[in-house]
Amino acid sequence: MAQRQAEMRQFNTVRWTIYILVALVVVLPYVLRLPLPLKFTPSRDVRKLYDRMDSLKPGSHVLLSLDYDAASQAELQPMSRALLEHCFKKGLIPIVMTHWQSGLGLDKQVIDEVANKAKEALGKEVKSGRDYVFLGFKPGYSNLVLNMGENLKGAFDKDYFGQSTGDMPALQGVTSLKDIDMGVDLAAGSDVGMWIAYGSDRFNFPLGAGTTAVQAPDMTPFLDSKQLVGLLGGLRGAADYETLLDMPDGGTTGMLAQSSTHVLVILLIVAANARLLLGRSARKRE
Amino acid sequence: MFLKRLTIPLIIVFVLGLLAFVQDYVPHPLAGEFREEMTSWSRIIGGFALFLGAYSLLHMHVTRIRRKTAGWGYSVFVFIGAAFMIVVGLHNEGLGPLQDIEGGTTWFDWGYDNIVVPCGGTIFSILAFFMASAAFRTFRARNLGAALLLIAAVIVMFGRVPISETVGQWVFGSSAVFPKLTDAIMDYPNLAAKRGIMLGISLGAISQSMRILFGIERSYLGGD
Amino acid sequence: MLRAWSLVAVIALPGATQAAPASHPVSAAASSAPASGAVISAPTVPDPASFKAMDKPSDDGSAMRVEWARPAREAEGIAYVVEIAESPNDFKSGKFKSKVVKPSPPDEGDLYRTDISPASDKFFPPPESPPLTAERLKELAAEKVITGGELARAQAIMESMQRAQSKPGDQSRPAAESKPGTQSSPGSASEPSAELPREDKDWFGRLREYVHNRDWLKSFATAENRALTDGQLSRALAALESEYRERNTAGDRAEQDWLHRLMAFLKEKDQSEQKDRIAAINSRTWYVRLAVMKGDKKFYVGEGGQPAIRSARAKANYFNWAKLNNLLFSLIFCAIVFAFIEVAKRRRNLFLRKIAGLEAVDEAIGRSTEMDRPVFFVHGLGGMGDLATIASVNILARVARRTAEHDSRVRVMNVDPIVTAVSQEVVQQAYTEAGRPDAYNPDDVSLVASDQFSYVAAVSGIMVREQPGAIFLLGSFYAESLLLAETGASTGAIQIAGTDAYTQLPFFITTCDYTLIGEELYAASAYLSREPRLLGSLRGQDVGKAFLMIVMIVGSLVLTVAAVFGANLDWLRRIFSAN
Repeated sequence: MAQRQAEMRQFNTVRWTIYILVALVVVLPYVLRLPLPLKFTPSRDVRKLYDRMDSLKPGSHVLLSLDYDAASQAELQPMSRALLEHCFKKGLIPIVMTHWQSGLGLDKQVIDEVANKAKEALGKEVKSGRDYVFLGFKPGYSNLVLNMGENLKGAFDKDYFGQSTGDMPALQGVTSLKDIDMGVDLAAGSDVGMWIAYGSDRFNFPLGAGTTAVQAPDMTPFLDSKQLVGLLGGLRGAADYETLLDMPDGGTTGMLAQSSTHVLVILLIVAANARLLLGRSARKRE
Repeated sequence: MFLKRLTIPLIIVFVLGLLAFVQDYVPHPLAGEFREEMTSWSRIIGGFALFLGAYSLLHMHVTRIRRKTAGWGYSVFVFIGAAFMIVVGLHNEGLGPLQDIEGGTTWFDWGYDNIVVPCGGTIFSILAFFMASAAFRTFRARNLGAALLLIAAVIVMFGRVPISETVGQWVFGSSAVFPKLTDAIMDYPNLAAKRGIMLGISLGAISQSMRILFGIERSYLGGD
Repeated sequence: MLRAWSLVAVIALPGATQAAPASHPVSAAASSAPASGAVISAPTVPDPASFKAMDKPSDDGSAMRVEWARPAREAEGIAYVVEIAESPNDFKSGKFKSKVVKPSPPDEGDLYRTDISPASDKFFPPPESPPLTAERLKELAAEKVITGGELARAQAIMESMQRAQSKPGDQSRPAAESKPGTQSSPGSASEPSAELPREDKDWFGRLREYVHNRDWLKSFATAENRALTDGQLSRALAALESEYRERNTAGDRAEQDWLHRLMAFLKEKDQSEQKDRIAAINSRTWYVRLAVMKGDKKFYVGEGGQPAIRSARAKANYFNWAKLNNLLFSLIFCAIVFAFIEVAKRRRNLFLRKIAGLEAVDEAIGRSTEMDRPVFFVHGLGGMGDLATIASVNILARVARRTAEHDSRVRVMNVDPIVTAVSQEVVQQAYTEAGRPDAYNPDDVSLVASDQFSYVAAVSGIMVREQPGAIFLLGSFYAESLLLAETGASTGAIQIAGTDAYTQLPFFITTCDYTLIGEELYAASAYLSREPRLLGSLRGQDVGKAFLMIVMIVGSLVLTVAAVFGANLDWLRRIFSAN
């Protein structure tokens, strides 16, 4: 029993040391605003999504389904930002919506941020109803997507701000999902599969996706079968997209913290194994 | 005929399960209507079950406060938090709970945005610390299998971050070495293993569903 | 996942979809045939015998299918045009719609296919409310729905729009409103032109929406449709007017809210009626003809010197033949499972390999009892619709009974109310069967939170305070898996985890003492009970897995060899393709 307690105490000491090291390594790059000394190459899947978006003509409609909440904000919000920036830079019309009511505030926040930034960076004011549409949230999930596929303005007769979608200039020429030029789903859950089954496959529009790093490997079959035109995976995906846009933001600044943390974990693993091997050698010698 | 306790539930499970199975192969609009109707019913039942859950939660915390069991203070916070959200939600800036306030922020929104959301984010962020400690504890080369797992994990972790491109350039003269190695591990052995597990899970799910459908498996109904 | 080649379907050229004969330039002006659309026999035109129209198989009755064979010499730069009309005479009068289909690798062999849904917006959608015309505006002014000033303003705007539309080289597209509203027709209001001041455009849009909503609400108080009483209609129209005129008193706002709720209800009703209208249109007989278009010229597929016309009706089908392989495989698998259940009833010693996690259940419960600590059971986030949750409830029954027999305590923490109710029933029954009904405490099986991270915080806190001896993490987990497992590890408890969420398996494997991977969780109830029927189903499952392994290995070899020798084994791929 005493030995067990001693083991637990040692275990807790090691744990807390690791926690403090991780905290320092994550926080310091942000606090000290260390510049990223590294260049990196965007991945193939991110590049595919970027190229597809970049090939759209000004005035094309891009549906952005921001299906995440605060828990996944750290990875997916930078992606939303980057995609919206791309839309405004190219004169595309983003149609933003969400299936997650808990993420509505975050969606509005990111739209406001990017709209203000577009005004400063691009010198043009972006206005709801004219340059973008924020439809907000509606329940229904796959049924909502099916309704949008038949009649988008019927599914959302008003946008988030209460403006009628019927006459909205930004939605001119768009009656249903068949009329949109591209869709991107940023999902913390299983929404990508739903968008493929009920959206892009049925109504024939190209679909890209952004997911958390944990879920990104699950999207590989959809990429292989070309049901997804591209994929942003985790914070690295957001950083890659920002690099292609030449607009470094949250994703890029997070890369130093992420790199440092990964290196720290690798060093910890190496240290643990070195200790194990040394212990074995010592026992063998004895 | 004397009906056993489980007879009617088993009949319901069988009939509805069979219909749900069949509707997947029937493109007729009737099948879609059936599916929507069942979805509506399950939402309605879930709504009633919410009362049961709320009662269970509150009863548990009342008992803890009454008996002053360890950590009973947290139970007090449950009531404070619930009361705050219920009161501000019902009050809704004086408009009552059924009015929608467009564009404005109510106390309910404030509570959600400034308490619930940050707390959820905080709990989620603990993952970073736990991953580091779990990796330190677990990735030990005790045997061949563990060593292979360790090497693959280190390569993938390293290949995912930008520093690997810089190191690759220094060591191998090419920045793509580690990312490509990472992609190779994820695209081949990892994907193959995952697909194998998925196949097994799918078959297991079919078998389990059959057992439930035909009443062979009954534990979920509370006993045989 | 195999994907068939799909035709690239491009919506008809601008101008080709309008109903008025004069506005159908392609067939009138561009065809190399005389204006009657006579046939040019050319080798680039598909064989008329191959041109067919039929109900689209295995669908919900919303589409018909047109197919034709690739011509012997398909010219470069051509497109196919499928024209659809309500009757053969409508082709002559120009009342038809077109769908342009660009050549791409044909679907099967040399056969092109395209599906047409006649009731879609691009073809013959259900009739909408009448467009807003100058005459309608005068009627509304006479009814005092709008004032004289508003009439004058609206007329001025409409004249401005018509002037803009009639300018040569005007690029404005026809109005494409999805709501029942205007369609492009002469003398009607389509989209406000770019020259109009923003304020006028917004006001006109609101007026149009007001008029449309008025007409729509009135359609629910007719002899055919009495969804609204006269009193409700009057109230609704008054509220609508107050919204249009932007009146903002408390009373007005209350009425407007009532109106919005009413409109949401009516919209849902209207949607189902709209579905019926669409189904009625789709199920009519439609007529199609096919042409090859090169540049501006059309060459029709003809018979007897006239463009060939085919007819078809869309019908709702009762079976999706594309899923036949899926159904057959499912039935065969079910038959195998039943067969092995029968075998297991006769042969009671069916071998099952050891599953370490399940072998350790008794050990874990025994250890907890010795340490006088509770056993924790965590279901995860799934509801009762998740198979993993059902499997975990099955294990809970056994764990609860063993715990009751050991006179120990089991604590079950849930996130879903229905799972809570089921778990309470299961645990109570287990305690009763163990002869300890008095030991059951309902507060030990409770809902602790209904949100993912609130649940994690609650369960982690309870773990740290109550220091369990054994923790079972069995069910459907997401990001909280590592949080729970690592917290459990910090308490020193023995942890047995199991999930079918393969993204979370690595976290459990690294932090828990035993992990049930995927199907081992589903097999747990059979393993623990050793009941012959359940064991038999496991054996049947294994046979299914063996079949899949053989098919994958043999199939990969056969397809590889076929690829090397250039053989076409698409039929083999189709047997196993998912649709």
